Amino acid sequence: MTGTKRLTALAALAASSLALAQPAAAADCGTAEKITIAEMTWLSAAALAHVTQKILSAGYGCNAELMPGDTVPTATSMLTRSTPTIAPELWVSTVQAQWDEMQAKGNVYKASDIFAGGGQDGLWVPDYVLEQHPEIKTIEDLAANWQIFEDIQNPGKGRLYNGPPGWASEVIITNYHTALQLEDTFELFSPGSGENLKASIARAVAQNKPWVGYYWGPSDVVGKFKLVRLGMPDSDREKFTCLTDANCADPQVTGWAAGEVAVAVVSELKEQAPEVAEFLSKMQVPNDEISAVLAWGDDNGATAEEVATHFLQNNEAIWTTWVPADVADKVRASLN
Amino acid sequence: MTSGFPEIWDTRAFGRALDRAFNSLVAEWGETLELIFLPVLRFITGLERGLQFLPWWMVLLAFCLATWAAARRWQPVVAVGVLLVLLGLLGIWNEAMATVALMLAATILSVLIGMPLGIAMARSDGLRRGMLPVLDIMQTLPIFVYLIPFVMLFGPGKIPALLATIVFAIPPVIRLTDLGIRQVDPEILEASRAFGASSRQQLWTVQVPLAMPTIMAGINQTTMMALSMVVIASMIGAGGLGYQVLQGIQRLEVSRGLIAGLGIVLLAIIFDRIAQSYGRRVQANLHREGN
Repeated sequence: MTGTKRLTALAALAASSLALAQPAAAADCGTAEKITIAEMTWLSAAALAHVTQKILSAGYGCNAELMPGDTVPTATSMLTRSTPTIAPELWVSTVQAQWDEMQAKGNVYKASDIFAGGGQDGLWVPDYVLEQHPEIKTIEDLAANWQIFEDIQNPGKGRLYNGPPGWASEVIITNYHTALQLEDTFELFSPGSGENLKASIARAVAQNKPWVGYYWGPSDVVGKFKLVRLGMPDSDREKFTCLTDANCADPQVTGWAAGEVAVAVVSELKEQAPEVAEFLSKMQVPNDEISAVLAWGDDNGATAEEVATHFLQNNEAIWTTWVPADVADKVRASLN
Repeated sequence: MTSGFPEIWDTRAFGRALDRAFNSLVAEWGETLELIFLPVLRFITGLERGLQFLPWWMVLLAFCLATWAAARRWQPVVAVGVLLVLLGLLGIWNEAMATVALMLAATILSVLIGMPLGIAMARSDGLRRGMLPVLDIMQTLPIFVYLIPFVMLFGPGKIPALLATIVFAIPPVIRLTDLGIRQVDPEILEASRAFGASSRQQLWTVQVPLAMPTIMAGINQTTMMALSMVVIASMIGAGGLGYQVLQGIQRLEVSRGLIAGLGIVLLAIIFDRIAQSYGRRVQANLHREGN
């Protein structure tokens, strides 16, 4: 009973949005079904989810809703239940196994690479560290300069912040620690959580102290604290694959392969809503710009939704290329 | 956006000012605070390394001796021994010892701070009125609210984990010390005063011993609460069993999380046995002497 009611309500809603879309004639959602968008726990993914939602509902008149998620649970649920419909920032390498299964099953496809420069993982330092210590340029300079990062809680060793427990990066950084021969000079410190990793950076920057460890970009942290990624050699596929393996026998120094960060979309959407799929295939943001937007959000304590609005208002040059002009007009109108 | 409470003052500006003040506090005092707590850190790491360095059977022996000293009965000693062996069999000995070190340090500090506070509260109604809301806040404020600020102030690692654990776990020992002393029969106190006991003698020879079962119940609760904090503490770099649980959750390795979680339960049973059997013995002694 309630099911039918909801369906009629949906149909009515779709009809009304169709009616609204009629005069423009061009943009139309194409499906009356609810489109769910994964809103991940970190700011960039949450803001991108809001951007997608705003464009879909205001621009295309879709019944688009956000759905809380996180990389592993969202990928698993997309694989098994084809929900959520869209994950605007899915770090493929983190969920490689689920991703491969989705490709084999064919129920989810990659519409686009969300970051123009790919996901950038690696070892980062605040920019002032490089100014004060020009001898550090690449990750291979760390071993000789460990004194800079000496930690009073563990004298005689520098502190290298690892990725949070369970993240793929934790395995990779641990292997880098071995490959760079840092066992004698650096304590590999597990921050325990992404929040704590961020807090440790905030603390170091507030005190103008050196800090070195894992982070990723584009992210609010990189933009806000002006982190710089230490240089790395070019990435060798075979060596890097070994670095991603917890049982890598002989880790070798190589570059961190650019992360594949996909706009992951349930394949059905391509038939149901071709115009939306067209927009998703163009959706891409440059790394520096998005980091700057995220830093603005962090500085102003803005919610993900406010960051999304800020992005749509101030970075028109980026997102208007994703959609036809009439859709852009409608999105613009909805912001005021 | 239109509904809701009218915006009477600019909360966002207030928030920003608060954040700025906190950041400058971190910048100016962060390192000093970290240095002040360095001895505490040495104590924990020393305890942890000691527990991990000693052969397992010596740790087992030490635990059994402590149980015997507390209980004077052989059943709990055997139970503690068996549970520790189980812990070793699960393959999480080192992690468990790291957790024990953090938990013991938190409990010892909680008792050292909490008992005097509880005694002071029992002797002064004014202090009690002031302290009760503070304790209520400590028990209800969500942990994450102060966890990350602690990290900013004290640097990531064991110190903020220890402090957060103490904030969370200390209220029972304070409350029950206060309660235990207040519950001592006023006639006994009057009798001791009639025999010329000074206020200090009254406290140490009459009130504290008579309140001991209640105080032990508080310490037991504090221990359990400290143990329940280990998973959260490992989210800010404390390591130990909680870290295994976190890794298990993040990697969707049910087995790893389950084994580490089981380890925490075993530790809880062990410490509960020790504290409870001590409390029971103290109570039994009191009754024997009373009759």
